[in-house]
Amino acid sequence: MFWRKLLNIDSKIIYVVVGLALLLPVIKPVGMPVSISEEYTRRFYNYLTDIPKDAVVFFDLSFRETGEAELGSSVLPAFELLQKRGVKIVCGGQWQQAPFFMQSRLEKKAEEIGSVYGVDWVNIGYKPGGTATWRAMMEDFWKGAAGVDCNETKFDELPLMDRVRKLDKETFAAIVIWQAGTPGSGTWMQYAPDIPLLAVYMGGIGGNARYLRSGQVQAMIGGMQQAAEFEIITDCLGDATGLLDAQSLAVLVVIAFIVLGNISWIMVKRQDSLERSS
Amino acid sequence: MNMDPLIMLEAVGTIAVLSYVWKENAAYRFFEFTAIGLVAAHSIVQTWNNYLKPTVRDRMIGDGEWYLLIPAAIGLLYYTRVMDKKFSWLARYPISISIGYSIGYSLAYSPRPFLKEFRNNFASFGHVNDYIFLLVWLLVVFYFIFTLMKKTKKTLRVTGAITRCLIMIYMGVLFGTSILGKFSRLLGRYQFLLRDWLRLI
Amino acid sequence: MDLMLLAAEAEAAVPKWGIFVDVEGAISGLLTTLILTGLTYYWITAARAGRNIPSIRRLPGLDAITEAVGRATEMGRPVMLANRRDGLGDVETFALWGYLSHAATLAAQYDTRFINLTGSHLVLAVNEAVIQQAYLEAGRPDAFNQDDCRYFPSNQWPWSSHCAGIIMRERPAALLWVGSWSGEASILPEAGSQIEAIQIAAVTTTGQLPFFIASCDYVLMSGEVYAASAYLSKEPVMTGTIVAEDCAKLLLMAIAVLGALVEIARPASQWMTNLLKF
Repeated sequence: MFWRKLLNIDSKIIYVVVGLALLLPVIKPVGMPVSISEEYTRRFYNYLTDIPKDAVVFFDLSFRETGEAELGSSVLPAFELLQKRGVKIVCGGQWQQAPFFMQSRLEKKAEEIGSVYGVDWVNIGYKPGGTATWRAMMEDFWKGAAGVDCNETKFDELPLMDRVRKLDKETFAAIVIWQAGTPGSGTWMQYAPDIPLLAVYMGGIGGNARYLRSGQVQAMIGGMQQAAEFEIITDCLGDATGLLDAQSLAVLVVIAFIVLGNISWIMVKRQDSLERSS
Repeated sequence: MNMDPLIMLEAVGTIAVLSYVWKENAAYRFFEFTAIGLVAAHSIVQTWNNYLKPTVRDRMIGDGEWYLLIPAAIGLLYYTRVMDKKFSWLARYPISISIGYSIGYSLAYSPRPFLKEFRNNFASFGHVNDYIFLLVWLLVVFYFIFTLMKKTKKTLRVTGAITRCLIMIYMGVLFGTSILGKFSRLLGRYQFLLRDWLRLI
Repeated sequence: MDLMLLAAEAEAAVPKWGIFVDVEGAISGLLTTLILTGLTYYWITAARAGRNIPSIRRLPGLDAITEAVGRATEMGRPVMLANRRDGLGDVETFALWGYLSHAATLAAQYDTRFINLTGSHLVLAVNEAVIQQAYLEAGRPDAFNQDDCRYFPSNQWPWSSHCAGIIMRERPAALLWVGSWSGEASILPEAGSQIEAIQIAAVTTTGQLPFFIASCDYVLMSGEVYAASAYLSKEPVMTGTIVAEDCAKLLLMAIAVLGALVEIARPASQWMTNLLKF
């Protein structure tokens, strides 16, 4: 029976079909229209543009290579937006990888827009030790961060770091986190609830919307969709806009499988009960 | 095609690991053990660079903070677990200190963020969503009561079915969101293979 | 350890009210902690004294553990229990030991090989002791095999790919996933379902629950994980804690209802909200 065969379909076939649905638009993008979400993307953008000139913002890059396509694509527009407006940026991360592999991309972007390393922005890299390290940096940033940036340059050679003595609300106008999982925004909600927090979530906002309601996060975006929206709103087109087509097509394929799977289940169940009764 | 050996290696590794989807095989196994070996080596280097070097060179020898030898000695007791039973009990001390420290530390910071979220349940009632929010919150908290049976059994039976449906709706939202995240990861790999390695796009 | 000392010796913040720091919710937070501690102390003492305290209701997934170990015995294949990222101080680890002890005891009684995977070398030490004790209590101390208590560094994807590889090679007939999980949740239970193992998950990470629900036979979620662990261990300390937690939940529900009534009766008074902000 067709439905029974469909219900017991080899998972490898599903992998191949979904894999192809993701692959084809990467090779040949369709260019689907994107509309800007007011509640999330516009609010996130407006919050960034409202940060006063010369304020310092902390970029927490908490993801690894697997998040580069989606999360990495909104780091650069945010960096450009703030730097062009004269807002200083200190980058770091709760995850080891992103602060290091994003460094070359940030350097390239900084060169493009004329930002000077050490004066306009600094990347302190990954600091091990988990929350104890961040807690220590809240009291003494230099000591907690071991006094060096991601290239082992001492903080006293970086003029911007003169202004960064504590990880607190007096020093930082906001923390912007790009997170692919845990540890993530929870660290800041728990240990630095006074510093305004903005978050970029991998995959989508999902259950994190409750933090917006409770005021623990001031603005948030999530997923490839809103990463693309952010690229468009900042006029800094990158990976997300191109990859959104692929994700959309794959989602349609997954929905089709879910619907077919459920219909098959109902049909098989009905047939089984008919067989039993006869 | 990009012939940079590092890019080539990364591409081969990506394909080998993806091949697991079809079947566990020798190529996958090679990269699986390579990754585990690399991680083990990396954690040794990391411990050396991030903990031992700054503590021993900078703080103990540089700043004369020799009292750090005390926690270091307590930490070293952990290795007694591989020794004879006469000494292995000593390993319990660093373990106990670690547990005590972690619990005390997280407890000191725990209630505040949760209180902030909690009071949000009744902060305003201007919209119908606010009522729904509170009602769902109450139902879900009630669902996760495991004792006090006599008082709650009857009510639990009535509300349990509704709450299970609500939880499943939430699970559906999470499932969709997470699937999108997985797609992003795979897209990142496709981008690497097609753009950085094969230079097709 | 040095970071712990650094955090401990950090400079004191400006006082708010006597010894309390100027952070929103500092005093209400402390009071909450004290109330919870008081409740927990009361119920643990009551449980230890053998007084009649409320019992934990039996959760459906628990019977499945016995069923799964039994099936593994029939098939001559091992039982595997895995936990990647929870450390010694994490509450999930305390719950883990309840499941570990129960499953290892069953495996020892049924003379079935038991494999344990962890991502923490500190947890490994305790896990080994728990499993050894389980074998001892089952009267088969000689059957305990230390090589089946395995640790490899908890870095997410290397750990997960190794775990998936072990699943394919060892082909356990019963798989238990306990604790908090990250993105690997979409891969590991899927590997388990490919080898048609009975899978039981006790997962505290809400975000990853859907993947376990999709692939596992039984899932214990969030608070159920701790309650089930207490039920299995029959430890008065754990049982008392669960009763205290339930009392706290009822208390919170009462405060929420009261706060809502006040807010509806006198809109914008924020009486209860301000009380909790103190």
